Amino acid sequence: MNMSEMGLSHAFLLQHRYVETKPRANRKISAEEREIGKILSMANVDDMEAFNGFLEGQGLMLVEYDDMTEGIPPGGRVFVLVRIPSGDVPEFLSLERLYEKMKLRDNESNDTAAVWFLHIWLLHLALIYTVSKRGISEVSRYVDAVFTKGVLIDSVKNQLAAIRSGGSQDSPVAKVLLDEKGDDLNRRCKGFLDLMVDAGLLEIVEKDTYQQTILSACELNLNYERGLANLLPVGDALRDINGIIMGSQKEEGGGVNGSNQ
Amino acid sequence: MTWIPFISSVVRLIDLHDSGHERGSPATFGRSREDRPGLNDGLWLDVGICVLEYLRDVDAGASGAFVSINSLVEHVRDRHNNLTDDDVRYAIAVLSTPSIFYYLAPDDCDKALSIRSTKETALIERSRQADMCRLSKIGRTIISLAHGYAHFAYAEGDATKIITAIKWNNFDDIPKACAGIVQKLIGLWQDITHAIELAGRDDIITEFDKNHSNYINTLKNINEVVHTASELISLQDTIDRFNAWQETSNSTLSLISLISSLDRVSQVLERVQRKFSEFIEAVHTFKRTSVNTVCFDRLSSYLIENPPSANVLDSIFKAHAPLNSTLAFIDPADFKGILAQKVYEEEADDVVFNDSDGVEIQTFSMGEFVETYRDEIIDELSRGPVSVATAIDRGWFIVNDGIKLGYTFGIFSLPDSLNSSGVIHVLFNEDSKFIKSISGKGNISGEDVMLEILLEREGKHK
Repeated sequence: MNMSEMGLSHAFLLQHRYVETKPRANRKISAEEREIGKILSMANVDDMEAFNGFLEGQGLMLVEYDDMTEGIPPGGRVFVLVRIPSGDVPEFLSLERLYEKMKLRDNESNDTAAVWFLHIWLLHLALIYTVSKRGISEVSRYVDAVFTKGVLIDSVKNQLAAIRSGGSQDSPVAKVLLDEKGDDLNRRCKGFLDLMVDAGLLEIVEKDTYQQTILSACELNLNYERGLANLLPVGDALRDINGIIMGSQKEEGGGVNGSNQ
Repeated sequence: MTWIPFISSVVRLIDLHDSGHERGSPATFGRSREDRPGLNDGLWLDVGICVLEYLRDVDAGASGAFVSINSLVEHVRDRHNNLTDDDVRYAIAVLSTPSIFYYLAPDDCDKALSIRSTKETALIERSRQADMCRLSKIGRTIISLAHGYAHFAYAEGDATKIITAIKWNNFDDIPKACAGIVQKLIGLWQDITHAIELAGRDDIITEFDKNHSNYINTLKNINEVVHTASELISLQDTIDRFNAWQETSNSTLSLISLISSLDRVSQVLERVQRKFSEFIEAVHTFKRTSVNTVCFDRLSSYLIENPPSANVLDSIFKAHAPLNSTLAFIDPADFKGILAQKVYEEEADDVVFNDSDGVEIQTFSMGEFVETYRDEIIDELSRGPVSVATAIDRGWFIVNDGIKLGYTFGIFSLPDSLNSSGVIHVLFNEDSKFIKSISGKGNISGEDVMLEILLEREGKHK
C-alpha cells in the first residue's frame, strides 16, 4: 500500500467507515469499495502499522474481521474504522447531521435533538442487547441484533406512556419527549434510523428491518468505559434503581430461542 | 439424503418417551395397528426438512445470520406448490417451539438414576423483533448428524479419512473431507470467540478448561495428519496413481486443487490454534468481572428523571454518536461524464534556446509604435494640445503596415509611454467628439480627448 492508496482508503473510510471485500447475501458492493477492499487486504504488516499510526493521531483505528467471524462470507474480510478510547474525536467529524436528522422543525434546538437521539438510541440498544441478555462485550453476537422499524416505534411509544403514567412528566426532559403531535414519533424514529444507517452503525437487511453492524458492536465495546459506562448511576443511586444492571445470567444453550408465534 | 434413515431410527425411541405405559402392566405394545397419529402422508415432515435444509444452505454462506421468513416460505413453496404461506409457517412454528424432553441420567457421585430434562429441542431460533429466523445450535448439530458429520471431537477421524482416501485412490472424497474439517474448525473458532467475549464468566471457562487438553491434542493430531497427507500427495507414486485415476474417472479434480484443499485446512487450523492460545491467555490474565448486561430501557427511564450532565453527554456523543465527515474529499466518481481523464506526459525536451529554431519572436509593438511616432507627437505637443482627431488625421496609427488604433488610444490613456521630459496631461472635453473614416476599416467615433504637455521649466498651462 503506497501513500496514495493510503489516502484513498482514508478518504473512503471516513465517508463510509466500513469496507467489505465480499458482499453478503443481499448486499451490493460498489466498484470503489471493492478497490479499497483489495488495497487493504493486500497491505502488509508494516503498511498496516504505518496506516494505524497515522489514524491513531486522529483518534481512529482500523479493525479487521475475517471469514471465521459470524456473518462474514467465506473468503471475505471486513475492515471497520472505529474511534479509540484514548483519542479525541478529530475536528472534521461533526454532529451536524445528527442535529439535522433528529430535528423535525427548523425552530427546534440542538438540545431537543440531543435528547431525542439519546433516548431513541438507548431504546434501540435495549432491543439489540437487553432483550437477548447480551453483554456489551459479546461483539460477535451482532448477527442476532435484528429489529424492525415498527418494533422500535412501539418501544418508544411504550416509554412515553410509562413516563405519562409514572409521574415524572414534569422533568424538563420528559416535557421535551412528551411534546409530540401526530406523526412526529414515526418521523423521529425514521430520522434516527436513517442517521444510523448513513453512519454505518445499522444496516438494512430487509424492508424496514435493521441489523446492528459489526462496526457498531466493535466500537461500543471498545469505548464502553469512556462512554456508555458513564451514564450508569453510581453508588447510592445504584441501590435505588432496580435492575439497570442485570447480574450475569447462566446461559441456557443459546441466545434467542423459540418464541411461539 | 440421509434424513429418513436417521429420523426413522429414533421414531420408536420417541414412542417410548411419549408412552403412558404403567409399571407392572402386561408387556404388550398398546397400539393394535402399526399406524401413527396424524395424517400419515409425510407432508409436514418433508416441509420441516425442506426448511432445515434451506437454513443450512444459507448458514454456510454467512453463519449465524438471520434469514427472512418470507424468503424461506417462498423457497419451500417452490417445492410444494399446493401449500399456502401459513402451511409453511406452521412447520416453522413447530420447529421453533421448544418441548421438554425427559430422560434419566446418573448423578455424578452415586450410581442412582435421576430424572433430567432438556428444553433444547427447538431446531430453529426466531428473532423477537423481526420476521426472521435461523438454525439453533441443536438445529446445526442435527444437520451434521443427519449428514454423517459429528462433534469436533471426531474431526480427527475426518483427517484420517484423507490418508485413507489417498491410499485407496478415492481422490474424490478428499475435498469433501477437507471441507468437513474446515467447517468444524470454524465452528470451534466461533465457540472460542464467544468464550473470550464472555471471559469473565466462570461457567464458560469451566466448560473449555475441562476439555482443554482434548482440544489441544485433537488440533495437534489434525495438524500432523494434514502434514502427512501433503507429503503423501507430493510423492511420485501418488501423482502417478492420481493421473491414472483421473483418466478413468470423469472428474475435473486436479492435483493442484487437492493440495489447495489441504492448505486451506492448515491455514484454518493455524488460526484456531492461535485463537485458543488467545483464549487461555484471556482466561488467566483477565480480571474476573462478571459480564453484566445492562437494561437500557430502564436506563432511559432513569435518565429522563436524572438527565446526564453536559460533560457526560459530551463524552457519550464523542464515543458513540453517529458522526459525519465535514471534509469533502474528491471522489474520482464525482467527475464521471464531466471530465475526461488524460494522462499528462512530461516533456522530455531540454529547455534550451536555439537560434536555428525558426520560430519568429514577436516584438512588443507598443514599443515600435512609440519608436515610430514619438518624435512627431512630442513636436506637435510643443505647438499645442493634440487631439485624437489630429492623431488619426496624421496617420499615427499605422505600425508595420498594420492598423493599430489600440496603441494610439493607449498613448492617449497613458502618455507616460512617450517618455518625454515634460509632464503630459490628458484633457477631457465633454462636448467634443470625433468621427473619422479609416480606409479599409470603416468609421470610428468617440469622445475626443487631448494631450497637453507641461514643460518642466515653465510649469505653465497654456
